[in-house]
Amino acid sequence: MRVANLQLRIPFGRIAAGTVLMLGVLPLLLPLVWMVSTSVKPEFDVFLNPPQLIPVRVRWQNYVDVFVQTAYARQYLNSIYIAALTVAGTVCVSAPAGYALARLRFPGHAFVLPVLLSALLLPNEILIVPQYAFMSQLGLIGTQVPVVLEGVFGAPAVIATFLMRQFFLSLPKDLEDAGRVDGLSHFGVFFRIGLPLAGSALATMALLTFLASWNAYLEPLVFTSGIRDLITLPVALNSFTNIDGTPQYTLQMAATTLSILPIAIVFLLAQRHIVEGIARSGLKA
Amino acid sequence: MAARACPRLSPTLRNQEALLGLVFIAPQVIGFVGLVAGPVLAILYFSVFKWNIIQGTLTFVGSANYQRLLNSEEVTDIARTTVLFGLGFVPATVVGGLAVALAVNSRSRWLIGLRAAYFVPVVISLAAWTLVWRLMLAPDGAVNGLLGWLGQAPVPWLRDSSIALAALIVVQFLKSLGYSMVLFLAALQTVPRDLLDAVRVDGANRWQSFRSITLPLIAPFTLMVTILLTIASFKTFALIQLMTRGGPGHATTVLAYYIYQQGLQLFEMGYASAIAVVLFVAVLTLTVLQLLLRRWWVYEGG
Repeated sequence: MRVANLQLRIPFGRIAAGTVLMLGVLPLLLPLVWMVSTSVKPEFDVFLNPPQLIPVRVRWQNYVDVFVQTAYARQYLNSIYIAALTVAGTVCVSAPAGYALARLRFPGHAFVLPVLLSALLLPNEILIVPQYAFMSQLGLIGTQVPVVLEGVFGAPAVIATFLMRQFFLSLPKDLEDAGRVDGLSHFGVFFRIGLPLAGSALATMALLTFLASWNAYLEPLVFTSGIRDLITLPVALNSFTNIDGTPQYTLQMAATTLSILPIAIVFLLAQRHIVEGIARSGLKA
Repeated sequence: MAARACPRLSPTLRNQEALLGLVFIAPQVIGFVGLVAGPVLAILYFSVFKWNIIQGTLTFVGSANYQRLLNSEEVTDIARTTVLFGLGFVPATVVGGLAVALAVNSRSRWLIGLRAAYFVPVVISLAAWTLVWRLMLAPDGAVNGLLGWLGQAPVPWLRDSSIALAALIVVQFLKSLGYSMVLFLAALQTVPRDLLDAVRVDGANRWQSFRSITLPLIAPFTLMVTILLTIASFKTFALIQLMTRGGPGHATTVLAYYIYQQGLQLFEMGYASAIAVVLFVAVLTLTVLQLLLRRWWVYEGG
């Protein structure tokens, strides 16, 4: 009875919902198709009317020019090592901190976590002026050091610490007790038992940190003073201009496409990790 | 957790544990004090000074910065723009994300693929997303080209002060829709299937079961998503800087962007701190209000 009933009812609703869903995804994906399409057009064809989704003429040379005419290679390298340093720093800071919050009783352990989590409620835009002054006191303006520091200790790192804490809380206590009985110190338990089991949590946390660092805009813009050889990709993308200051769209879109490439690869390989990490850090914080 | 104060641990071991805990947490706490807690106190402190780090001047001015921003028509406009941006962006993204999550909440393969498609803009940098949209919304760009193809007149998306803000809201909405969807998908996993099946058997239609079961059960998550998106709406910086630079005039300048302009371009750092304090208080108030709403909005079980 029920089966028959369902078969009669479903098609209209499903088809309508499916159509809306498919149409809804167009404004999300077409911009990316447009980006790639523009990146291989000659400058003259960018504003053809009607718009050409498939380029009428193709100019692969754009992808060469991006590297030859600008400091793009250098900026790409900046993004890579700043993200790598940020991820490494965050792992070193957040894994022990998360373990301490989950398992160790130390003075103030009850109130550290809520205070740390309050950082998630504070847009960094509010704090950028005193941060700039502080970094300026330390003589770090016009360097990449503050960009890494912000990545390792700012709000994204608090999320990382929180994710690690949640993971260590979920570990069965017996395992650690067994280690303790076998004569391991607290540090030994963390290093020999907790950490080796944390691979998947560390991977999720490293991925989210990488994304945050790779996509950051305000911090690299402000702290590097916009110096050409120090900025990261998101800031660099806006520097593709003609002599008269108008954007050089084809090169800009080639650069943008290249800047998204690592993200696309990471996304294809580890979509589940990213989605789970975002859902977990967003909802349970 | 309190039960873990194991009596069998000797005082030395417990000291060792406390020491290790402090060592483990120290870098995170020191970084937090330097980059978050310290700056919060600093904006409160410097908001009563006239402060220019380039000239090296720091003069106590009392409440002058606050009086200046209260009397500034520009600040009133910018505060209004910030609120309008939030009112446009947050409800649309909450409702949109929930709607998409409900629609794709199934194990069918093509829906999982569609889910991924909705999520793609979330992982892309806002800078890249914004630049592509700036190109498409240019006067002779793809969007107007499409309109022309449909026989419509071109729209000056980013050059008309009454349209630019709406255009920015839409671009941010499209970027964040997948984020909202993912959070709601996680929320929907907490709704027991049996319960939904039970009311379905009792004759409730989809809408009724959504209203009476799903919506109340996911209310705590809805609240959290709303808070997260509200905070995100106050963070709007790259979008504005890359799309309109706050223009035309200051039609699309929001407080976050204004702090940057005043503090780091004009180096009116005391004044920028006062504006930051106002934004800080606004974020805090809104978050507390939303959490208080929880009392009558959120179903607490039982």
